[in-house]
Amino acid sequence: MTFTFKRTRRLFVGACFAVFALGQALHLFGGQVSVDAVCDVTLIFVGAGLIVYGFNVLREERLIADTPTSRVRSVAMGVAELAGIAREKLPLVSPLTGAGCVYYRYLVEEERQSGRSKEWVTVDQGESSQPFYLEDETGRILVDPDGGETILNCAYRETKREGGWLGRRRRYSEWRITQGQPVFVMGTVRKLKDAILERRVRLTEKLQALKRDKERLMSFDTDKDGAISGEEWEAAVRVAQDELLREQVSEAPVKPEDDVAIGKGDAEKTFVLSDRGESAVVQGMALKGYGSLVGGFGVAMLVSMSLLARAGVLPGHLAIQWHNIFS
Amino acid sequence: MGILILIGLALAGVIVAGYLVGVFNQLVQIKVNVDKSWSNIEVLEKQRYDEIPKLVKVCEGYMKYERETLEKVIEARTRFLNAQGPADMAQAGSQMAGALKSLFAVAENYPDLKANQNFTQLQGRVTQLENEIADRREFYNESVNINNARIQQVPYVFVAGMAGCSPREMYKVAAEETKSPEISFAFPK
Repeated sequence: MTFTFKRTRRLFVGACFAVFALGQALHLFGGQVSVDAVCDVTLIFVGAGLIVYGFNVLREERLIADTPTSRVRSVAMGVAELAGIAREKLPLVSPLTGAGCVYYRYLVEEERQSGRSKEWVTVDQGESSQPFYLEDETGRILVDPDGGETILNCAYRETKREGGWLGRRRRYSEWRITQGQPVFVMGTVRKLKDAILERRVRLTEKLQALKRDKERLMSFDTDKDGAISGEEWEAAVRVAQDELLREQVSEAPVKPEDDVAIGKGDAEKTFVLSDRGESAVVQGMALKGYGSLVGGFGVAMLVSMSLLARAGVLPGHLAIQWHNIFS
Repeated sequence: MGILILIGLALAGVIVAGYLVGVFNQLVQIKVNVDKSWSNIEVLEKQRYDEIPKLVKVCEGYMKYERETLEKVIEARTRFLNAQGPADMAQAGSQMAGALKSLFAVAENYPDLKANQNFTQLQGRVTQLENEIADRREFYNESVNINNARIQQVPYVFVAGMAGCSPREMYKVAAEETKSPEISFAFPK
């Protein structure tokens, strides 16, 4: 899951509401625990979470900054950074604008009343999972965008009122990578398919099908004793292997550029896809990382102060009255 | 208020400690990257090394009067096999690249050899491997450059020793590799 600023803010607000509800429940059942104190303790954890998140973003930022950019033709398996031009593998059209692209992400939000304020609530979102090529001066490689953190400039944003004058306002946003656009990818390069494993699986499937087809299976019963001996089974396996070989020869050869792909790895989860250059990506991540650290530190300090004030260690007016804020 | 300052200092201490752990891990990652990028060159060098006997075998039948050229290739291969460390390996790699350049240049004079499909395929494969090796050398040098720069920067300089980081050697291409090979044709009399 990618923690955007908006998602983090929602988590923060959600945690506060959850804590408030928990505090109310505790108040109803015992009256021993203050709602405000529970809010304080939980928000200390929220602050700590922001600090951990900040460190995580900074780790990714350093990984990108310290990995040199590879060339496609000589890229090694494992964590790699590539930069080039986006090229389509198959035609793709973005859902909101109908524009041709190689990758899209969209978000539809609706304006809803929340207490005294209004907020935008997500009603629909999605992204394409169709691979596309990244091409540099030495070749091209498949990019599997599934599970990637995309850092893209918004290509389309429009707010419309749905269902006439009385309808709710909806905001449509779309981010996309178009054919020929420069792209930067940091991810894990891996073989798309293991030819030996694939051959083994297909052979197993063929032999299973042969076992189910009694009539065909008995055609290998050369001594006509009504049972398939070890030698007869070996002959059947050889025939299946020959058939598989003929099928593979007649199939269209796999293009070299379709053999490997860059995407999200199993060990290293960092997978960033962007239409900005490496330095802009690194700067953005550094800002987010240090921002989270400072924010987390601020939240933790503020709430510690409130908790200490509630405990009588600091003047009482420093305690934050959460129940007044949420009521 | 004193206790709040203490909490603030403790929290700041945790953040600073976390930051230093991040710096330490980053340096370890950089060191591993340098080692990995070196290993990635070796993988391709090994592949090129494996193609040489096949290439020599194909050429032998046609280039009976070019024993010296072929021997140079075999000699370069043997030297490469015994090479240790970036400098030695770079020199051996340069010698092999030079010997192969000469071989391909001399092969131009043997139309039958040039028409041989095996030779064409091997030549293409070796040329492709050489291009990939050149890319990976650049990548290795870039990794070394990052390593050498980071360990001199603040705050990395304070933890570089602890992380076992030290300046690494670049893969320097010998001057002769940048020159065109000398070609002498030993035409049969």
